[in-house]
Amino acid sequence: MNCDAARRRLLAAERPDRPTDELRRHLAACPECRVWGRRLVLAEQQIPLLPVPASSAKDAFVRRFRLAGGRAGGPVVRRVPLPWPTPAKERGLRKLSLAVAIAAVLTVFTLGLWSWRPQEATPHPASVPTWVANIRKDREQILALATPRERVEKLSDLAADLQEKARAMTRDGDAENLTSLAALYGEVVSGDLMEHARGLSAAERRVVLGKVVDRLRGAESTFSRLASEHPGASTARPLHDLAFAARDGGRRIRAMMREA
Amino acid sequence: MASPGEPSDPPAEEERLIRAAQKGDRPAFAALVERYWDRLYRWLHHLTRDRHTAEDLTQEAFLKAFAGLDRFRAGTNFAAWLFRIAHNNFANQHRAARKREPLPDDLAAKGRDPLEEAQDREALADLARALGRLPADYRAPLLLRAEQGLSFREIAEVLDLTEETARWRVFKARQKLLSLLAARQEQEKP
Repeated sequence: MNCDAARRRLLAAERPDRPTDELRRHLAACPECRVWGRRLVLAEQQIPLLPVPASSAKDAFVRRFRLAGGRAGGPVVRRVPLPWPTPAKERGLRKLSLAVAIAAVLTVFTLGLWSWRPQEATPHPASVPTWVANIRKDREQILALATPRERVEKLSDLAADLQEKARAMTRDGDAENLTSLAALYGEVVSGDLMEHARGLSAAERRVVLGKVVDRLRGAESTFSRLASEHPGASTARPLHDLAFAARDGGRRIRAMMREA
Repeated sequence: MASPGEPSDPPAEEERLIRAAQKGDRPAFAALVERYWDRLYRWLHHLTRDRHTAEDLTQEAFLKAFAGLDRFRAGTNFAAWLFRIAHNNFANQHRAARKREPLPDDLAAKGRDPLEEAQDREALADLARALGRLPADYRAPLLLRAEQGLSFREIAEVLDLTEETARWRVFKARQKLLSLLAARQEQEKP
């Protein structure tokens, strides 16, 4: 066996660290191929040692997945298109639905074209990152929950998840996504949470809102600290916005508790 | 090397969890998420080189897996099935992203090297850089082989390839990886 053939066999082997007897004989006699083979094996063995930033999303995902238990269409699980083949009957139904949908779109398009008048060009909507779309879907599902108490508790969880995401983005210096997140956080905390907290009875306010205030206080402290650690960084502004939203939210919730 | 279908717990326990999850037991599926999240996320991070994208894709893969769990045949390779769902998501996302802009290369290009404390950080950083320069079509099967310990047959199943194509891609990935590492060593010579 020559060196070229030996190396090709090593490259094609499922386990280059366990060469066949024939290969082993060649490696024993050829120091260059031995070094080359060792490099290959070492590179593969080191791949699992390569660093990957820790994922902070697992715990939140598992928690929310468990919390959604029992309720069909809960806040986490969404029906999504499946990436594998479906039975023929189902495919047929899907084709039929697709045909109906296409016909409807064509009808609307024709009517639109017929009634079209030149107007100012509107800007093409910017593509939304997947994580933003996911948060928005979660938020919509939370807002569809039956009682104000459920909505407030789940919105508070969502705000906590956003807080974790913000920490990770700050660590990565990802100012662009952090700015989008600050806007979302403002919508959730200053908008939704306040609106649905007002729907709580006096007794519920006393039970539920204490925890919400504590979380917002913690969030404000976290965001302020992160902003002060890197005052000149591009992440400082969205962090200040986040801290403001948490502080303002906490203040308004405390006022509601006093009313109760 | 351990097969992905044989983590620390016995396969029978995994099968029990899958069967329970198929009956709608959310805590059972959550246990499967706990078991596979890190491995799936790690693989996707190597493919996307972006933490948030990898997390989104991991979450999406689990949601799709849960939604389609009734189609999974208990007793077959759950890891391969899950990784296949994740790869389909990645491929869709990658196709869309490629039309917009190149993927970020945080590990190689931004100098954020978490290996600062490791003795062989330079070698690992070179490896990370070289791995990042492999085309995704080669990187994905190599990672499944080297990190997840999948056989060529299982890699083929995950990536929807023939076994020979899977072997060929791993072959090319290794060849390219070694050539990139060798070129790097040449550059460093005084």
